[in-house]
Amino acid sequence: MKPDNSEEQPKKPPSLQDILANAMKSAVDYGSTKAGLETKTCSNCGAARPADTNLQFCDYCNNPFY
Amino acid sequence: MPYTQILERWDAFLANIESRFHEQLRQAGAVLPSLLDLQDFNTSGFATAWQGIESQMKDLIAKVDDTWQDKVSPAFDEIKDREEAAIEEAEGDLEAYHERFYPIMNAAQDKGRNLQHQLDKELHRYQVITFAEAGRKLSARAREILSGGFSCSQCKAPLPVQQQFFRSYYHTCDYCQTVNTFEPGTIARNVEHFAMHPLAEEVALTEFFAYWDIESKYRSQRDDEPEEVSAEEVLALYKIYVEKYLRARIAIIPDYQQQYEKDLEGKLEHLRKWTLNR
Repeated sequence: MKPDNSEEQPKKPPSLQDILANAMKSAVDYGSTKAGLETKTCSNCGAARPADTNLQFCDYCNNPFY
Repeated sequence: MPYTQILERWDAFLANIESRFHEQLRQAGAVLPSLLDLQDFNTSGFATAWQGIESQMKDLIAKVDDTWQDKVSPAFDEIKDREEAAIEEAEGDLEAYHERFYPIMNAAQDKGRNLQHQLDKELHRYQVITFAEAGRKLSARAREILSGGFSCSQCKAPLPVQQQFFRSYYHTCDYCQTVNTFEPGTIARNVEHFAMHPLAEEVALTEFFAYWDIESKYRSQRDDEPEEVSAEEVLALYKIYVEKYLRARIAIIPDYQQQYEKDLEGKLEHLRKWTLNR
């Protein structure tokens, strides 16, 4: 008669190396953005947005920004 | 004493748990901070690794209670049953026996509970300090980035950016009056999302533990015994902690001053409603 091996052995906790390897492997890269400055320019005349204006219409040619 | 052997084994078990706890945290502390460098300041791997380590540590702490319930308490009960039977047979004084027995058993259980409380605190302290250390690394890198030579995208005139503000904002060029949009980038943004909280927690750690201890005492009070710690005392210590924590956040990001009163009231209300059930 074969010995009964059906009883599960307690699971051994993962080692620190396992935890770190798993963390490195499963790290999600959401994509990174670099620091920088940009200016919204008018798609019609190419003018930049001057101070004290909003982004509705171009201050130079009155073209809607969006 | 028939309990000597149980007490010795219990003490040895507790010492073993404490030693394993410190050894595992020591090993983790040696490698965790370097994860940020290895992953170019992507915080996701660091947070995942911490979750794994924290889960293991909590399992280890839980072993104290599990072992008490499964092994130690039944061993005490077995002796008690045997001795009670012998006393009854000899028509002895059971009450006097109980007066000797329960203090010994309760002291042993308290030893386990005290160790759990101590390890819980140490784990929290370790978490705050480790995350704060990572936060300092990240903040230093962010400072390097933000002190870089930025210039207006239209006229290329130098346009220095704010050093303690980590969100996107409009920035007008003094020379050509063009409105530039400044994007601080992922690393600098993470000063607010990842670094600020543990750095402020680290500053307020002593006050947090004063609150932690009294809150733990408040929760462990029995309804049928006189109240030793009142909800007002818990709230007062929590307020001291939160005030220090919020001030530390403002030191990192001054813009948080604007919402200080709302943040303070919100946190106090949360404690009143969900922890103290007031």
